[in-house]
Order: sequence, then C-alpha cells, then structure tokens
Amino acid sequence: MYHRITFLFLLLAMFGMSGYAQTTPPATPTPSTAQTAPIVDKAAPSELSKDKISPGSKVYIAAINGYESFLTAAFVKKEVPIIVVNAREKADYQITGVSETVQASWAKMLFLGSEQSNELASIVMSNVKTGVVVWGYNVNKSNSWRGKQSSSESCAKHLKARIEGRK
Amino acid sequence: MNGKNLSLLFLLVLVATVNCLAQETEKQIPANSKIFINSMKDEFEKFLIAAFTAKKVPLEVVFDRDKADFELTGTSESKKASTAKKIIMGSWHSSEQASVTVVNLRSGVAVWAYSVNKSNSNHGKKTTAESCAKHLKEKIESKK
Repeated sequence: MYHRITFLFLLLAMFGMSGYAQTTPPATPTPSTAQTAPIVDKAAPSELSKDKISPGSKVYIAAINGYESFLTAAFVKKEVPIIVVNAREKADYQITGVSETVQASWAKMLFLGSEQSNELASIVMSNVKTGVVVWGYNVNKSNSWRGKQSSSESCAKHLKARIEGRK
Repeated sequence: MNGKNLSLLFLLVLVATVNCLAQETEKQIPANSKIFINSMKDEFEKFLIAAFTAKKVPLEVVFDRDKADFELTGTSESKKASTAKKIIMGSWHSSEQASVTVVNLRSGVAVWAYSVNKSNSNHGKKTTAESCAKHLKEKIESKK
C-alpha cells in the first residue's frame, strides 16, 4: 500500500514540476553593456484616413496566394460598389493582405464533431497615389462553413459598409 | 431658355447616356467571346475547359492570350479526406474550394467572379469546375 502511495505521490510531483516548468518564463539574461537591445518605438499607430472612398473607384487586388480571387468573387456577390482592375497603374486604390487556413484536427472532429476549418484573413486598402491607408479589416472564423469564401465575404461586407459610410 | 442652351443640355444628356451604356457593355460577356484560361494550381484550368464543354458555356476557349477578349484567372484547393474524417465523420469525399475571375482584356476590368466551396465533393475538382461553368453560363445568358 505504501509503495502505491509513494508512486502516486511521485507521479503527482512529476506532473506538478512539468506544469511549473511550462508556465515559468525563461530566465532573462542580464543585459550587458556591449549588447544593447534596440529601443522599440511604442508610440500608438497613427489613425487611419477617414477620407471617403467614392463608389465606382478602381481597385487593384495584389496577389495574396490565390485569396485575391476569392476577394473579387466576394465583392461581386456582396455588390460592393467598386471596379476591380487587373493592373495597379489603372487603379485608385490597392488591396494587400494575408490569409491563413488551419484544417480541423482529429481532436476537433472527435470532441466537437466539426470538420470546418479555421480561417484568418487580414486586408489593407491604401490609396495608390498618396500611399495612405484608408481601410483595414481582420477576420477570424474558427468554424468557417465555407472556408475562404466566408472570410472573404466578411471582408467584402465591411468594405461595402465603409464605402456607404455606415462605418 | 434659348435654342443654344437646349442643344447643350441635350448633348450633355446624350454623352451621359452613352457613357452609362458603355460602362454597362463593359461589364457584359457577349456570347461566343474568346476566352483565355490562365494556368492555375493543380491544373484546374483543364477541369474548367472540360466543364465548359459539359455545361455548354457559349464561349470559345483559346490558348493564345493575344487572341482573347477575356481572361480567366483563379485558384483551386483540394484536400483529401483524412483518416480522422473517414473514421469519425464517415466521409470519404474530398473538400474542394475554387475561385475564378473573368477580366476584360481591353479595359482590364473584372467583369465576373465566383467562388465555390464543397466540403464533401462527390467528384472532386470536376464538381467545383462545373459549378463555376454553370454560373458563368448564367451570367452570359442574363446579358447583364
């Protein structure tokens, strides 16, 4: 009996130590005079331009690993009042961004019964002539029913609201 | 209002109408137009050509971009069913998503775009390609 209790105690101690090791931040090295860390500018980001995006503006969507095509389709579906063009020179605005997809793991399928992917996207719209960012939007869909289509349509909906002055 | 002012007003209205009509025409895809399908990920363009034939899309596919009126670009993603999906969800079908855009090569304006997502695609890429073809055919026939 004592053996079992000791074994159990040992196991608990091991788990405890393991947990503590994972939560304890690594010891920070003492700063030396030779290696000074660069000073990070922590000033608040400047505010986005509140300029009106006029309906009918020409927009160029830069390559985002194929996501640009989903964005164009979403703009058509959501009837966003802009004209998408295929060359930057013809455009008034440019959209750049990033998109990421994480497929459902077996654990998600087993415990949550969901096979939907997790979608992340972030897009920024800037004026081609002035270079000023006029709009930006992030979207995160943890259970995206239609993959990239859902996230791109969310972007389109919010851009439409911005153009129509609802945001 | 004298005659000169009236003619000026008439001219202005005429110019505005012509401009509107030109913009509307710019967004149309006339039947029997020549279209160039750009190469895509996983050779999705081949599935699209086959789907155009199957769905009888009234367009002529050309292999030279200079001879085309429109260009089709896009992307396609395919994910085969994982073991977990097969065991837990009981589904062998792949997950497919595709997105295509048709651009007028003269004006450079995107005239049509469509995206499709099939989480359990019966026939893989064929299903998504045929969905694109069906919707493109609807766009051409609507003359909008």
